[in-house]
Amino acid sequence: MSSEDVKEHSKAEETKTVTIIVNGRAKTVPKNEEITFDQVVSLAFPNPPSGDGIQFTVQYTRGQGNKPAGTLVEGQSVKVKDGMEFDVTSTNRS
Amino acid sequence: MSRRPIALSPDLLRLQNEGYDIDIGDGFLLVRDVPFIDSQRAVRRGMLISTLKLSGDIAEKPDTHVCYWTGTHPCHADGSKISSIENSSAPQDLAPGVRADFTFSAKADYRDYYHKMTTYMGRISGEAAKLDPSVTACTFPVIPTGENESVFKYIDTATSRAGIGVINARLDGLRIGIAGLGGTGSYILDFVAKTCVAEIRLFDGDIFSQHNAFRSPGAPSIEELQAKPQKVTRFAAIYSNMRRGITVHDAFLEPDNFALLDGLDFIFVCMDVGSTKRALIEHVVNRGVPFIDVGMGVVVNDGRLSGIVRTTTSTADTRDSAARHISFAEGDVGANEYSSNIQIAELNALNAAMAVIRWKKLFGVYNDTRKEVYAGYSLASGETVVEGLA
Repeated sequence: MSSEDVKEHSKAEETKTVTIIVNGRAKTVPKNEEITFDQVVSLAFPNPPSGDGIQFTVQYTRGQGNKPAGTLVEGQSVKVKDGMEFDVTSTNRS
Repeated sequence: MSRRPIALSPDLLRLQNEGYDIDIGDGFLLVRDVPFIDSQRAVRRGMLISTLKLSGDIAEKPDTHVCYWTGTHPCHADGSKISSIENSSAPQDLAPGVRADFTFSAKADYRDYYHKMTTYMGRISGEAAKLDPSVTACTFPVIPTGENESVFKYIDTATSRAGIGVINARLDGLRIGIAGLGGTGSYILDFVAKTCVAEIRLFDGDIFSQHNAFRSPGAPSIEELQAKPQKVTRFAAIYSNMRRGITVHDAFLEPDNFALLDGLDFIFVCMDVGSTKRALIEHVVNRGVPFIDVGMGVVVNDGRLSGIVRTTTSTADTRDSAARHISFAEGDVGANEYSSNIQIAELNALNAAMAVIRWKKLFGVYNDTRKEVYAGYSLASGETVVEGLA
């Protein structure tokens, strides 16, 4: 494989996915797509607990230009961007 | 002896703010602890006195250039009498407990009492400073207050020195509840105690234990912990050193005692138990009381901590949008492998500071451009995500 091929190949990869950071860990997700609240929670916690009273806070920074920072609540989604950072925790402690 | 004219008169307030030991008694302005040199060239302390002309409770322009003095006659640094201000008059009792040993006269058109008193002190204490530059009349005395004079047991000179009394007074008379005295609740108390609110009502049924010591303000001793004090009792005792108006309920808030919240203007909700919190918030919303819900979620990932420190503000204008940002997760979800109870003092303090700042915005102390409903500080990135009505 020539270096030209490698370049072509990675370019193709690049067009399909982006890397986002969820609770400090890099995750690969499809490019140009919206990610839902549930999907972000699943990336953070592969087997998310369910049931009444289990509620996560999801917020992000370094997102798309028109709204680079914000929150996601159940039922909401946001368009992903390479390098976008998400925090996902149950903010119930005081 | 009311100190009200001091608070209302810029010249008197300036004397107080700069640390002069001033007082008002029987129509006289007193400055205590003014250093001077006696005939033996020793530094001593005397009291400078002036008549005080008031209009209502506000000082007017001094109506005489004359001052009085309690003490031996002030001297120059070389021990010779300061004869330039000497005025030949006999000692006299100006008022009960206020005796003038000497009358001074340094003629000038004094603009106000600050100008007058500092001019005399310059002449008198200036000589003392020649012998000992560390000597000053600015002693910053502690100024106690009367029961009906202030919520604080001594004057809030931080506010008066900053000149923001009018702004801080917007919190005057408020009745504030703190539901839960854990780490964040106890720091909220620490901050709210330093505001002029009329009442701080504390709710918690727990004992103050060893782990609490590591996420609360202050540094309790072993003996204090061994005594197993109730949280509300302990904190009320500490903060009552400084202020009045702390009331306590040594109980966990439950639906059957929600009436204890009656009359509150604002509530900080700092509770971990999801189901009770849900009922409490429903109760508070039904009664139209604004509140801030605090909460943090910290997780361990690859050996480091990250997470969110959050405040959610619920007022009549923000009930619906706020509701989506309040965590009702149960504190002890046994089956929940992701349930963590990581709390750290600086995060509790940060969460408390975020909540208290937001509360002060609601009541017009701080500027509020976003009408914030949600604020979440991300530990890892250091960014605060804010969502609001504006």
